[in-house]
Amino acid sequence: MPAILRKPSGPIKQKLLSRVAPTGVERSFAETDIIVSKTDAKGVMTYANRVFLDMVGLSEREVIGAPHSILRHPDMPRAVFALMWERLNAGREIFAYVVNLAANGDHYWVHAHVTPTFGANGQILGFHSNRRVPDRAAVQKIEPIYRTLKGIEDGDASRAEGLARSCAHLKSILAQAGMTYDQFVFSLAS
Amino acid sequence: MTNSSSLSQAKALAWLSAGLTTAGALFSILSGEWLCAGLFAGAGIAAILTVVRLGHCHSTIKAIRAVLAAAASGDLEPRLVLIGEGGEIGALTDDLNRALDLVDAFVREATATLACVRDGEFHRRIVRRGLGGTFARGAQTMNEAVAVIHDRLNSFSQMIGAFERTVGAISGVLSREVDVLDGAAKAMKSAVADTRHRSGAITHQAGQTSASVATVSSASEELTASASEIAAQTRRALDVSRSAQSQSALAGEAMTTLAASIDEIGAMVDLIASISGQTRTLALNANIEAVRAGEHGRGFGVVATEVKMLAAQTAEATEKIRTQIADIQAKSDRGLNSIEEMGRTTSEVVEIATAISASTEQQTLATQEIARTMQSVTDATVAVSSDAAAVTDVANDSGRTADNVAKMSASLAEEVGRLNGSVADFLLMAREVATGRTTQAA
Repeated sequence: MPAILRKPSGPIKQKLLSRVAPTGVERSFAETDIIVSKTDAKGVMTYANRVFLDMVGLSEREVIGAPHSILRHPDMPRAVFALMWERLNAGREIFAYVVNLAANGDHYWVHAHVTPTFGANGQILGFHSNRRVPDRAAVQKIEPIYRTLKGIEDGDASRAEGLARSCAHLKSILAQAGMTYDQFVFSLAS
Repeated sequence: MTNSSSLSQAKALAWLSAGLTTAGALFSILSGEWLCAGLFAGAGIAAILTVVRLGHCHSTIKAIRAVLAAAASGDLEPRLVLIGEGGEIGALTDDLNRALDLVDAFVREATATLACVRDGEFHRRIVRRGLGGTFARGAQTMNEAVAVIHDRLNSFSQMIGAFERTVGAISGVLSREVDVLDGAAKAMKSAVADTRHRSGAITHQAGQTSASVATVSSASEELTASASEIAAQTRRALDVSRSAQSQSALAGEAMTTLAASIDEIGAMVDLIASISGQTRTLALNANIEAVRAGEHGRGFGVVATEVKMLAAQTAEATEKIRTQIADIQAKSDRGLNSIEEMGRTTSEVVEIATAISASTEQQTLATQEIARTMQSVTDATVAVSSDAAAVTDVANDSGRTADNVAKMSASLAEEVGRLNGSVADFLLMAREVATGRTTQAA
């Protein structure tokens, strides 16, 4: 467990960030840097490295204890997160291209690698995410796919129905490519 | 003092400073030096705050120790969070977190990548972006290792495929060959049975032929003997006939000579008749003369009468001889005719005997030819019998060989089956090795 010297002053209200309107300004970080964050098993932030804090534009105090989803950009399709949680809860790692939201409404693309953290007897204690500067070509390939998925999700009155259809569409894209999700994600960068 | 850290010493000194300033403050109050008392109090508060800050610093160092101890024991999860330090200590905690993040990232990447390799998936590579120095080199090496393993397994899989195809082809060919061999063995056995049957029939027939040939041989020998007998008899008949021929020729000649002699006798008789006629004429003339001569002539007349009588008797005898000669001539003519007839008959006999002799000769030759032919037939039959026996032997050998071939083909089929089983097992194991996955046993 992260060594915490002091109790955090409490998570910032999620609504504060979700109220932020995207500015459309893209931020970037150095290729030599990795954005690192850790959450507990429920997805509550327990650690964020300096690069993370700099990119989001929040203090450690504001971030620790907040749900990880505070970073969620409205352009991200829910199907990707559904797949991510399905994989993580199954104890598997996942790679994904994700666009995140900064506190001021700017956004930044990352190539995220999320892995479960296991306890001594194999139980999932939490999750760890390393985010790297993404390959530009990969982002250009994934953006239209995300737009399509997002469109499917928003086009349905029922959230659950929209998510199911979006997930089905993602699976059909993979089937058409004849690849697993992992092969597909790795193929984007090459 | 040597066992304590500079922080503890600083804390002790801060406490000392606080004590001294407190004492100074009290002394100043008692002395009525209020300004001094105030300054001492301020210094004392600063000293106490120093102790508090030093305590915070101490807590931070303890936290760092705890995180490092966890990392040293293999727990890369703890980080320094909400330390509330800036400056050098803040930079220290950030650097420490950063170092742990990189080690953590490297370990997670390496573990996940190698877990994929373990599970037979090779698309996963360590993401090198963000990793520097030794991490980058280590990641590079591991990625190269994964690629090499993948390539080798691919080659191995291809080899397995090639091996399977080759062995499958060989096994297929072998199976077909075994079938062919088995079929050939069966055909051979049936052919052997047929051959045995037929060679038995040949031997039987050769025996029968042999008996027939023996019969013919003995018949032809008898025929030869009887032909020889006929030839001998014919030769004798011919000899006798030729002898008869020459005898009859001689008889003919004798009869001709006899006829000539008779003719000469006839001529002599004519001469005698003529002489007796002349004699009778002379006797008449003498008689006449005698008469004339009277008495003197009477004796003479008597003689002349006697001569006349003798001439008459001679004429009479001559006439009888002529009759006899004619009779003899007729008889000798008949004899000559008979002899000539006999000569012709004898010639015919000779001709016939000669023809018989020639026929007998031909018959003998033919019989000898038959005997020779029979001998060759016998020889051939013996050869056929011996060949048939040899064929039977060979057929028996072939039968044993066919049995062996059948046994061999059966054991070969068994071996091929075993080979297929082994190859299948091998391929299963090799594929498991190649893919890293355990195939569920059917």
